[in-house]
Amino acid sequence: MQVCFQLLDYILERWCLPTFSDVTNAVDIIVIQDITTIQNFLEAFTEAGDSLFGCLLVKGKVASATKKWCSLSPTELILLSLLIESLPHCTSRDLPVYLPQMSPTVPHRLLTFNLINGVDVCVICGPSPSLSKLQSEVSRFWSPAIDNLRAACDVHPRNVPNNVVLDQNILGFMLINSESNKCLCSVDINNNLQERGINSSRRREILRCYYQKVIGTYFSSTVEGSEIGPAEYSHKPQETYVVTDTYKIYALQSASFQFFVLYTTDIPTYAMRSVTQKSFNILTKDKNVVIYES
Amino acid sequence: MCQPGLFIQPEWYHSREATELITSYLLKRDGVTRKTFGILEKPSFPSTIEEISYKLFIVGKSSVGKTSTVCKLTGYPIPTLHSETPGVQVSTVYWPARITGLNRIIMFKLQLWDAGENSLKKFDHILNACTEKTDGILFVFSIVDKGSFDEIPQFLTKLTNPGDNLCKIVLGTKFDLHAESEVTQRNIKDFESTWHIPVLRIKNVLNYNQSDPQSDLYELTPILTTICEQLWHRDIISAQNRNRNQEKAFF
Repeated sequence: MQVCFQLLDYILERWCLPTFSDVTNAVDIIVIQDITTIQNFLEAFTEAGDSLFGCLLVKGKVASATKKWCSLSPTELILLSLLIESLPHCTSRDLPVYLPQMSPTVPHRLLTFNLINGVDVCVICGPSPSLSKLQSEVSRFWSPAIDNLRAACDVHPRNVPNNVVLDQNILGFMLINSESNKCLCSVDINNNLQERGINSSRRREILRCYYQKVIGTYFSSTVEGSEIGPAEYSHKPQETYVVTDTYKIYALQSASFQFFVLYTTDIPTYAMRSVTQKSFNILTKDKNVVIYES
Repeated sequence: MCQPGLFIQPEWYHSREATELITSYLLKRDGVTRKTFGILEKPSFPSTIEEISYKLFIVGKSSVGKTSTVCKLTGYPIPTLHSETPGVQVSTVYWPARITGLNRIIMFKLQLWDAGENSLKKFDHILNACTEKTDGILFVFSIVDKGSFDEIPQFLTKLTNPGDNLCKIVLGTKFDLHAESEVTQRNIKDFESTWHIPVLRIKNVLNYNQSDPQSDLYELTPILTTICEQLWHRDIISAQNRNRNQEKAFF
């Protein structure tokens, strides 16, 4: 129990969490270019660890993961990402973890390696290989990928590559896929808005609050057993928005996606609908955005 | 235990060469914060400087400040609240030294293996991972906890054997709390003379004197230098032993 204190503190101090997974029940991801290259490196390295469970984290957000890692339950995925972020920095670690659904009684070994500052690779292993053995393999497997890793790290905090251009009035967004249990969120999407009005942590707070308000009242919740609210209506709302003195915010749902966009007050209210839909299409059609894969 | 200054020139750290080396390769551009390195990264010092890697296992009673010590030595932020370390964490610290005999600069790469007390007891593989092929053991006690100091001989007998030639260093933490000290200077002196192991002192607190950019490193210089010197000393002894054995085999 004691070893979990850091994780619990981290979750309890959630107003300063840089990620959204605690409210969305979907793991935070980051979109990087060259995802297939990175995926190949990850799969080769995971195999070297005699494992099928491997994941690459950039600043605590999943950049790439093996099929098996994605098959873990949403709670497990979120807890693993948060656990690694909550612990003190180090070069590598070997820690016993109990997975709530997959293995609640038998501990597995979670090995993490800090490749470059901000980028960690994680593997869930059985009794072998030892930490030092796998650590000695890290350079051999990952050195050729160092430029890709640096590029991946540069995507933070925007969380989507610079070539994905969204409307200039967007302050931030949350895109949640309730089928694959992944969410892509950003509050630093347009650099030119950095100084204006609302700072990043406030944007995060607004998105979080709005999400919590809409889910359960207009949209149904993704957490099983909590489908309250919308079921009482005879119709199913698809879109909703709020306009305030300092910001405007729009939400839509489409298939398994929920999309929340925070705007400056400069955007005309009548344009929000079309801009939101356009942005939604850009994000979900991009081939690097793996949010639709489960 | 070797005399300080026998293998590493302590005055070298005051030279311009050392200051330049440390500021350009180990400090960030602001000249205050330390650079940290992932596994694929390392300080880009010239290839004439040889890098030697060592593994140090850190042991000590729970909550004496092992993790804080590691953070202090490596330049990561020091945790503000105490929490049991789950499993084992490895951190890397680079430290240059000018070796007296060789008159050359060597970059010591120290890998600090810090494991939680409970994980060590509960999971055998973690203890094995820590002790396997280790070059030295850093025994940590807290100056405000006499029990942690008295436990060190037990750790020593449990983890070391007379002939293993491991580098042994003792480090006392929380020296900023000397008013509440339970371990006296006399205790430390006695320990040093009985066991022939040097006892170092550290304060794992943020530096209040932020205006002096190098004060943090000045504080760490004697600690890191002593650790490196003891490791170097151990290498020389094991090399001598190896030579002696070879000679014996030859005759």
